[in-house]
Amino acid sequence: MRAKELPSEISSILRESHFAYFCTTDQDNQPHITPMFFLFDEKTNEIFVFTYLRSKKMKNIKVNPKVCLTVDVRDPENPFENRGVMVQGEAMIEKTVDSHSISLDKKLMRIYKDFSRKYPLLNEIETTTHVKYQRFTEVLVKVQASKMVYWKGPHFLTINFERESYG
Amino acid sequence: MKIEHKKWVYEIILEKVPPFSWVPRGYNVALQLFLMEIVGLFVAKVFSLSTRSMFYGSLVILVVWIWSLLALHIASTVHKLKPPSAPLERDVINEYQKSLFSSRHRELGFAFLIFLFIFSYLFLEHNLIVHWLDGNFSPVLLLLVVILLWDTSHRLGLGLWSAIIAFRRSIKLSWVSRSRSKMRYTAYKELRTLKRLDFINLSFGAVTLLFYPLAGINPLLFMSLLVYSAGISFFSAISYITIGRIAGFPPEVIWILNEGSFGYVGTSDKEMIPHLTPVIFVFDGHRTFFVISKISKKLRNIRENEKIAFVVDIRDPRNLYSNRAVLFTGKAKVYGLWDAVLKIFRLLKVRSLFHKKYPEYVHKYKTEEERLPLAWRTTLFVSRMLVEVEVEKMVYWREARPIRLPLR
Repeated sequence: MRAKELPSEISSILRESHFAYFCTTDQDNQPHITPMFFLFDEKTNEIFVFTYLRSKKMKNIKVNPKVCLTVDVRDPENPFENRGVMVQGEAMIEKTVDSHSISLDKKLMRIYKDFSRKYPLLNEIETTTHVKYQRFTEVLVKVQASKMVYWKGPHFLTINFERESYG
Repeated sequence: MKIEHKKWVYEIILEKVPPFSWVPRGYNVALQLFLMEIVGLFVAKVFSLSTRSMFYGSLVILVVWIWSLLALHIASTVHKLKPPSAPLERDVINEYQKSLFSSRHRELGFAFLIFLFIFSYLFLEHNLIVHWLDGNFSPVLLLLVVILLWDTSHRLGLGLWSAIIAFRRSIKLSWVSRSRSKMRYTAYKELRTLKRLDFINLSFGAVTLLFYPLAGINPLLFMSLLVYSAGISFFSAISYITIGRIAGFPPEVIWILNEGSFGYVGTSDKEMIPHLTPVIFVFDGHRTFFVISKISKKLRNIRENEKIAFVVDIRDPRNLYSNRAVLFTGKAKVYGLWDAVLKIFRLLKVRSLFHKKYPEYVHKYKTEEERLPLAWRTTLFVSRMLVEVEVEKMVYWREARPIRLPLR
């Protein structure tokens, strides 16, 4: 089932930007932010990020799966041209990347491919520096939006997602 | 690990000796002074002292009371100082606490010297006592004078001791932060507390001048008073300035904060739903400020939960992967109208920093003011609020962490 189509302003930002700011909170409701690489899956309206199982945000997600992810396009000259999308929703582990056994279904295969297409250098980095990170288990985290807020200058557009449309 | 520090004799008296130990903290000083004043008034009545002598006595009691409050405030603040994470800085702070509350009670040394000095001087120049007591010599009155003299000397000693020890601490801290060749900074969030301590010491010295009516009639005593006040102010001022010059962040973080054009503020409401949006911000060398709309969700979240996260990053246009970012977690301090009165100079400085950093924005806002919704207008406190990031923890990234994709 295909998720409902997003306005093109929103989907283009999510498609074209390279950085997302990912906000989680811990048990004391202390927010935490990390800039991250991300992938927007237009078929399902889901957003994917890679992180490490032992990272602060994974610890936070286990305590509180509610997250917020913001992607924006900056204009240093004109604040009326600043635009962005804030996605609020729930994060869940889609896949724990275990180096021994990788079984991928079609959807995951597609996401991985899109990821390496969007960030072509990722695999190159892997060959040079991955040794020191080998002991960290990676996870693919999926963010399912419950609300998206788009803004351009002082104008806002809010989209609420209903439970059924998750696909 | 929590280290129990020694205490001043004065603190021990207030905590252990009845009746002061019976009343809660904060009231024991008031009780002490109340008792002294009662005794003073009683004695004054019995010996039918003149109004002038009563005024002198009460003045001494008042000044001793102010000093006691200041000294106790210094003591409790220093007891509660959190240890810095860097070992060199930790040593300095640890030594500071140890010397201030030395196990051999060195803080009393100055007190004895000052007491001996004034006491022997009064012996030589007994017309001073004659003046203070209006010629009313009685052993009880003299005893009272000696007690007040000791109380005064005790506080004078505490003030001088704490100012000198603080001076040493600041010089050492500054030296330690300079000794790092590459990272000239002190990652110690209590630097501001130390500055506050120096300020209290400074006011300790200023309060001394209240003794003018008593000491003003005698040139030597008056000179000593000025020397003491000037000395303590000198040490505290140097200490204050030295601490202010210590950079609280690594140079690279300062670079990011100066160069970064946008900040990202993460807040969370009481339902624990995170919220994250870009803001414009300025960094004044020590503090980070951003402005938000008065009707924004961010402000509502901050009112519900003051904890925030704040990120500034700098992207490398040539290489996506050498993104540098700094994350602050801590609390948001929203400036109200009252702060605008009290911290007017800081606000003016922040305002000029915003104008310097975002000239195009300021221009655009000005020219398009009419067509803006109220929430977007820039008038501070009417539609915008200034928020300071009170940093508790800092994380700093130099490069994107690699991701291993299971694709060949």
